[in-house]
Order: sequence, then structure tokens, then C-alpha cells
Amino acid sequence: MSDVIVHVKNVQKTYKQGSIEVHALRGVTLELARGEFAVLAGSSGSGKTTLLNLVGALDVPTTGEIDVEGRMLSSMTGKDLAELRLRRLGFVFQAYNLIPVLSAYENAEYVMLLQGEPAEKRREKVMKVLESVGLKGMENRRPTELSGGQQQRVAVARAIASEPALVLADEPTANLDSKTGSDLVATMRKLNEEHGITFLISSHDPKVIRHAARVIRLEDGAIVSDERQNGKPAVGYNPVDAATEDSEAWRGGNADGEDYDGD
Amino acid sequence: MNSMVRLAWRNLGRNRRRTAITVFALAFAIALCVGSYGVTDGLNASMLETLTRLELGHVQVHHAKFPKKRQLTETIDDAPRVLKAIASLGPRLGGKATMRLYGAALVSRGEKSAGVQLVGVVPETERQVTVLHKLLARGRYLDDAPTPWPRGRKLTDAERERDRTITKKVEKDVLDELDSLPTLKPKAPAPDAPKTPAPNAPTPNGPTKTDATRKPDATKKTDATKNVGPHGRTALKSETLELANKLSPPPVRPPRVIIGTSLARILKVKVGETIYALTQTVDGMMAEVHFEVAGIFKTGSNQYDRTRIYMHVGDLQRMLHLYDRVHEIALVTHDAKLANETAATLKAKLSDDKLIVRSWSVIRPDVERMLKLNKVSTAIMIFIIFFVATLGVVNTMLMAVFERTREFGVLKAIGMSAMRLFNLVVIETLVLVAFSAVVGTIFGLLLDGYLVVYGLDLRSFTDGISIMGIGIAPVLKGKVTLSGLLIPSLILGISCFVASFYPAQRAARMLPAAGMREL
Ligand SMILES: Nc1ncnc2c1ncn2[C@@H]1O[C@H](COP(=O)(O)OP(=O)(O)O)[C@@H](O)[C@H]1O
Ligand SMILES: [Mg+2]
Repeated sequence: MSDVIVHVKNVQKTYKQGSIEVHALRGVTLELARGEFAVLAGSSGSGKTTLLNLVGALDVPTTGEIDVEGRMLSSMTGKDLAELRLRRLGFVFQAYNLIPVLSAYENAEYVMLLQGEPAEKRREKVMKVLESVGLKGMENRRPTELSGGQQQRVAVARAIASEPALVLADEPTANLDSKTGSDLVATMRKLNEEHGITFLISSHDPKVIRHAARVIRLEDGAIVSDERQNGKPAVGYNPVDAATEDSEAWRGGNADGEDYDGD
Repeated sequence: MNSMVRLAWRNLGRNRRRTAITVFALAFAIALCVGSYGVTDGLNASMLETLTRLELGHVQVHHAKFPKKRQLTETIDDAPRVLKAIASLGPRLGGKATMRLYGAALVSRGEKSAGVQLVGVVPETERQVTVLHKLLARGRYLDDAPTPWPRGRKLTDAERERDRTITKKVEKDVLDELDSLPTLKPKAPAPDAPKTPAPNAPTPNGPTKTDATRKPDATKKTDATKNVGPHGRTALKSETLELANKLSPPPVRPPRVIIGTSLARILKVKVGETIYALTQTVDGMMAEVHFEVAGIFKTGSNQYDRTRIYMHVGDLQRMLHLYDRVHEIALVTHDAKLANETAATLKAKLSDDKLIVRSWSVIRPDVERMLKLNKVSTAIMIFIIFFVATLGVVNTMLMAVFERTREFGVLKAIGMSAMRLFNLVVIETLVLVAFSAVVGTIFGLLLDGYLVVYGLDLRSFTDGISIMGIGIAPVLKGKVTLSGLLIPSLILGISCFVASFYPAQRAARMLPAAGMREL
């Protein structure tokens, strides 16, 4: 089960801004096992977004190589990469980035639409993921009619509705208050546990870092530490541990809180 | 695909004001084009209608040589056979036919005279083929029956002998007169010169051979002055006339004709008054006759209104000695567009080298070109309007693409391929255009409706437009055609479709990461 889902091999990324070269990543090597719940920690500007973008095939490294599910990204065509993002990857971004003209339901459904899933299956799946992120009853709201936390949960629902192997989340809690942020992380942790979806989350939020089984610290474009946290297995997370820490916040923030309690 | 259209539709609803302005502009352009199609189609229909319903018909049959020289002798000799062939064309290609005979004449009244074309028509069938009967400004249309006109007979031997004697006598008198000319006063040579400018005075071999017809009052007048003239020449003249009338008697009353307004003005003649006409028969003899003006028509085309006299074909046949023969058979079909097919079918049915069967477009290629030109110029105008409209659409879509840079990044990140993103922008454009097309076509239809009901009133500019000799009604009525309604939307749709490739390409090329960066 613990095969390697992401393999980052000595990756460098250099942005050119006019005559100035910005070395966003200076030789990063990293392996991520299937089913891991890893947090990419580091201060602003340390290269977290850059690394996520490279792993998500949204950008290409200057040097080095990245394999996702055993496939070399640099050897894939644009169409293959779109296909990979569509079927194997899910994204959650800092600024929610929902499609503003679509309802919560439609946003969550959109990736499945692109995947060409039949209507029946889409409906079933969307209702399930919206419920699992605690948005039951808000299906028809447009993003502007949802709070920041709710929007970010729609983004998570969208990311997992397509049943990806790997979810890349870039500072998902940065724009949320601490309670809402905790709820969101708990939700993601639960999905990781229940569905075996691998998460790579960038954050400098201590609450997020606390939840992580594995914390990879970036500084100035290089990994300075990579450690498993105490009592928290990187793979095969035990939700009871998390519940003790976060159940208060979870209940307070969501009427459906007990659905998650004691899972 | 369905979801793309839905997304496209919603995206258009985002910036409602911008979408509304674009839709309004496009709808306006489409309505304008639909309207101008309405005018062009109306103008073309009016021209074709005038052309075909004034005289031409859709298909004409002639003697093979008639169209070139228009000789009196170049007639259709077996008109009934042609009419029968036309009747057998069937409901799709067939239609109403009428026969015509043409002649030329010099007409006069008092001091005024004019050269005209005499057109002998069958009033009953002409009514079904042309609109002549509807164009009468004053008076009435032709009678269905020809003017009663007694048949002539051959002269007896005695009468022919008498004629020869008279001729000789007159010849001798004239020669004598010429001999004694120097001693004569100027008034002597023609003591009873005619009041009209036409040469109805007897010439040496005149009356017997040339006067095919006689005006009745002239005969009466001659009778009254019998035996009064010098040298007994009046008596001789009257006797000559009697002989001529036996050979070819005059009609019991002046044949009724209808003439154009311009001609009536030139001749200063009113309905009920008579005009004098001089023509030449098919055997080369001069023929004179008085016409009674039964009606005055106005076609709006100066050519017709100034130079045409319509009369019963029977009367003209008598005048020209072309009994039973006609120059032309005109046919109006149900559909002008089928004229070529009708002509070809009829030609095959007749299979007669002596006859020529032509459709209106062959007879008047200039008009056909004109109609095409009208369409082309409308198309050019539409092209220009749509070029501008398309630029506007491209601009709108580029704005829509650039302001959604982030969103396209997200769409790409969640797995939308470049091609799908491209399609999304194209579909968004097409939805915009389709919506505008519906609105624009509805407005265009309203505009058309106005043009059909009220028309474009040109009376303040002119009281009759004539294009290539074809009179156009002063109030130009629009015409709604399916193509006129749909073509503008179709063209705009195609041009915007192609033009949307540019913004679509910009969207498709957007880097997902670039889209994701906070700006
Ligand atoms: N598109 C870009 N062009 C130039 N420099 C960039 C670009 N994106 C990121 N950088 C620079 O690269 C470095 C790493 O940025 P980033 O990966 O966004 O860090 P983090 O997400 O950890 O805050 C920063 O110094 C940032 O300014
Ligand atoms: Mg970042």
C-alpha cells in the first residue's frame, strides 16, 4: 500500500524577473507515499506554492524531475497533463477559486462533468461529498452566498469528488478564522483516513501543522527538515486522536458535527 | 457540451451591462440587415413584378427572328398550338398566357403628333397576365370584343375597270396641272387639303391601293362635298373611296384604345376623344384609322406611358392585315424562379425551330444582373456592418477572457484541457451571438412588418422612379423572405465564430500556474 505517489528529484525552479533571477526552489528532493497526510511548512516566500504547482503539473521545473504515480511529468503532453490533473489530482487553493457563476453543487460537480461521468453517478457523489464536508442544504448557493470557510469546503468537495489519488492544497486555511480553519483540516484529515486520499498541504498555520502526520519544512527554497510527528503515523491516521483536539471546534462550527464524531 | 452552454450562459450573465450593450449592438446590426434585406427583396420583387406584370410575363414565345428586327411578318402562325402546349405544362410550371400583336404608328390630334407602338392584346387574357387593367388613371379598360368591322370583298371586274379608269383620269389631270403650273396661283394644287397632317389626300395611285381603312366622318364629309370641287376631282375621289371601302370597309365606329398619361398630355387628348393614326400594313400599304381613347393608363414608366397604345388584337390584326396572327405569346407562371424551367419545358414541347421560347431573365439579362447587383450591394453593406460588429464581439470576449485569468487558471488546474477552454470561449461567443440574433431578428421582423404594411414612401423625392426603364411604385414595399430573415444571423454567427478563435486561443494558452498566482 505504501507505494510512492510523488517523487520529486532534485528540483530547481528559477523565476526570471527582468534581469533578476529568483531561485524559488534550490534542489528539492522528496518522496510522498500513497495515503500520506503531509504538510509543507515554511514562511512566506519559502517556495511552498512553487513546489505544489510543480507537483500539480501547473508549472515546469527549471531542472530536476518529478514523477507522479510513476509517470515522468516532463515526458507528458499538455493533453496528458490535463488528463492527469482531471483524473488523479485535486486542488484546493488559498483563495478558494470557485467558479463564481456556479452553485456549490455545480462547482463540486464540475470536475466530474469534465470527466464525463453519468448524471446519476454525479448526483450521488456530489451529495455525498457535500455532506461529508458539512454543506448539506447549501447545494444551491452561489460562492458569494457562502462564507469563506464554506467556500473552502466547497473547494475541498470539488477536489475530492473526482476521487483523486492526490490532493494538493495551498494554504487552505490562510483566509479562514482559526475555528473554521480547524474544521477544514479535520475534514481533510477524515477524508484522508476514510478514502486513503493522499494530501500534500502547504501551510504555515500551526493548527494545520499540528494535524499533520508528516511535516516537511521549507526554507528559502530548500527542505530543512522532514519529520513524522509524535504519535501520528504518516499513513493510517487514527481519527480518535484528532477528535480529542478538535471536537469542540467542529461541533461549534457545524450543525452536522456529530456525524463526524466517533467515526 | 450542455454544461458548457450552461456555464457560458451564466458567464454572460456576470457582467450584465456589458452583455446587454453587446447584445443591443449586435441585435441592432442584425435588425438593420434584416431590414435592408427586406428593402432589397422588396425592391427586387417590385422590379421583377413591374417587369413581368407590365408586359413581359415570365416566359415569352416569338417567331425565331422577331426579337431581333421586330418585323410585322415575323409572326407566330399557329398560336392555338402554342396555347395548347402551354395549357399542358401542368400546375407547377404552367400559368396564364396571352397573345399580342405589335405595330408602329404615327398618331396625331390637331397640331400634335407622336410615334407610338400599337399593342394588340386579348383584353380578357391580358388581364390575367399583366396589370394593365389596374393602371387606368382615367376612363376604362378595353372591351372584350373587337370593334365591329365589316369584312371587305373582292372588286367585281366592272369595279376594277372603273378603278383603272379613274386612276388614269387622275393621273392625266395631275400631269395637266403640272404642265400648267407656272400660270397657277399657289393655292391651286391642293384645293381640299386635309386638316390633319396625315397624307390622306389622293395621290396618283393613292386611294385604291393604300387606304385600307377610312374614318367614317371623313367619308361623310367627302359625301357632303360631292360634285362641288373643281375639275370634278372630288367626285372621283369619293368614288375611289367607295371602291376602297368595298375592298376593305372601315369599322362601324373608331376602335377603342387605351393610351399612356404622357402620350395623352402630348396629344392633349381626353377620354372619349379621338386621335388619328397612320400605320403601314403587312403588305406595305399605308393604313389610317381613328381611335377613340377609352382610357388613360399610368404605369410610372415613362417608356410605357409615352409610347404605347393598347387596343384589341382583332382590331390591330384588321388594321395590319395580319388576320389570326400574333407576334408574341406571354406566359405568367406561378413562380418567377421557375421561368427557366418552364421555358425549357415549353420549348421541348413545341419543338419548333421557327419559334423561340425565352424566360424573362434571358430576354432582360440586364434586369437579372441588376437584381443580382442589388443583392450584392446589400451583402456588401451587411459585410461592413458585421465586420464592425464582429470587432466589437472580439473586444468584449477579450475583456471577458483577461478579467477571468485566474478562473481559467482554476479550470485548467482542475483538469480542463486547453481545447475545452478554447471551446468554452467559443461557445460563450456563440451563445452571445445567438441571443443577439434572436433579439435582432425579432426587431428586424418588426422593421420588415412596417416596411410591408407602410412601405418606404419615396413620394417626397419623386412621383415615379424608373430603374432601367422599369417603373417602381413610389411607395416601396418591403418583402419578408426566409433567407432575408436568417442570412444576417447566419453570417454574423459565422464571422463571430471565426473571430472568437482569437480570445479563445488566448484563454487556452493561459498557464495554469500563472492563473493561480495572486496578482
Ligand atoms: N511568477 C513568479 N515570478 C517571479 N518570482 C516568483 C514567482 N512566483 C514566486 N516567485 C518568487 O519565488 C519565491 C517563492 O515563492 P512561493 O513559492 O510563492 O512561496 P510561498 O508559497 O512559500 O510563499 C518568492 O521569492 C517569490 O517572490
Ligand atoms: Mg504561497
